[in-house]
Amino acid sequence: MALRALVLGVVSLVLYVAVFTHQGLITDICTRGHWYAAFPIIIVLVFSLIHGPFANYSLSLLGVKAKKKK
Amino acid sequence: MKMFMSRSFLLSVLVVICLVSFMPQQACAGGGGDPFVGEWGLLTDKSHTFTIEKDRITGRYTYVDGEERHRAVKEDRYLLRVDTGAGPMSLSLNLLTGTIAVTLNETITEYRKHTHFIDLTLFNFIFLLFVGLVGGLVSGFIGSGGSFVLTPCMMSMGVDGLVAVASNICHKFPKSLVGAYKRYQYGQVDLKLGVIMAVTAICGVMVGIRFQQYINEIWGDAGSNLYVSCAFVVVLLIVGTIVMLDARKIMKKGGVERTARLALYLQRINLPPMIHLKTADVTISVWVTVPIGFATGLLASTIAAGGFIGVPGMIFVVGTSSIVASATEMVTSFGMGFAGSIKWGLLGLIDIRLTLIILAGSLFGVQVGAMGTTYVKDYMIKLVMGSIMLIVAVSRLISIPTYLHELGYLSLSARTIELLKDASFIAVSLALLVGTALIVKGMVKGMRKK
Repeated sequence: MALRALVLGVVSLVLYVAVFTHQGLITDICTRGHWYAAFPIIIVLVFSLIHGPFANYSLSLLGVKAKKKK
Repeated sequence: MKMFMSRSFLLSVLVVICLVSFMPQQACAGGGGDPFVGEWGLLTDKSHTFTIEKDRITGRYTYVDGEERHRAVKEDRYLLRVDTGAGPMSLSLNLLTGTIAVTLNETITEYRKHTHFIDLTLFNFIFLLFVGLVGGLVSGFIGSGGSFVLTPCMMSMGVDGLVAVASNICHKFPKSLVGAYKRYQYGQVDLKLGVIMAVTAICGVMVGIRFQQYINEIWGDAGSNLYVSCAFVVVLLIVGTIVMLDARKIMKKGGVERTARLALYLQRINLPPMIHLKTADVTISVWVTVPIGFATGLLASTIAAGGFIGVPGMIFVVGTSSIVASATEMVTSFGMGFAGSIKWGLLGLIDIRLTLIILAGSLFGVQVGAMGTTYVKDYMIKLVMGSIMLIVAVSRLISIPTYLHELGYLSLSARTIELLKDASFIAVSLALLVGTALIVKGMVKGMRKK
């Protein structure tokens, strides 16, 4: 689990750094409207697929887990 | 994975896409803005710009090109006519592409609206991350209601109103997807109910936007804001009080939640088609669930917190438990968020940087909130929801004098208006913080018992 969290965390960080170091270009593409509307939607989906599991594994490592059913 | 492959889920995604394809033509002015108003630049090289202004009280449009100012007349919803010195000019709005076609002397030129995106500072970054985290926590716990504070927060940082709404909605659907999946794993989501709610809610959003446009055309922006605030206060005060009283009643009776009398009565009505909701363990007519979804969408298009009607509706009208209602609401929220993201994306108003920062915090928050539901008793969801609803109602109540002033029914000083705006914002933030405190307290208590 720790390894998965680490890998996903690094990928997530790389994605965030990539977006914010190229924020001008990415903002421009995402705000062109029409068919370009797919870009922000795809971007948030990709981020949630990477960052979501990363958050899940990190929380588990921190001991924040759901209560098991009796 | 099972959730994403289920027939109900795939059907809901398909229906949402079909509904959304009909949305853009009518959706632009929704969410509190006039699509004509703003600065427009040449589509090709932005070498020429003009501005369209609208008087907040009279609703009159003015075309401003450098030093020249001309009155613009609205011929219909998508067409403005301006009588310039060079001859009559028509400005035709294309909501699908978010552009204006300017026709002057039979020459057509296309313009696109200039959207001003803020420069991100470290403070803004950390602030949004925190608000996203707290908003996600509340959403994961009560199914909705965490995002309504984000729009005013972004606007207080200098983000344009429509960009704030668009960026907020774009973070909502992946957050709801992750939250819904998490709660599906805990066996709390009723997919069939969620799909019906999502589809009918999108229909409600469409009608709500039309109604907003109608009010905007008659009374202008101030009238629109007044309508939104009144809807907020009336709905939240009534529903919030019912939810709060019920939570207190259950607490006094030892924390055992019983199905509402109204729901039991409605479950006995045999009006086909009848559906059995497996997770909720309820058999009910579809005609009972449809109005709740529709009202959720209607409220979502008005106050951006449809869950405040959707969750109590599922509890008191359909007869589900609070846990199932709040989990199922995330499916509805996903549907509405997805539809909204396409709509705002088509208009090019999503600031992806803001969306991603909020998402970074909210993906943690939503999962903690979802886990929190496994530690608390059912009534805690009602308690948190009721508290937030009542505090938010107060925040909107504080805003009403400002809109009455803008409509000319009241006279307030600039200082008073500023004070009221600050007080309203503080109250909204307080609602979120109170909700967070109750969730964390409930979770810690539950974890200690374990």
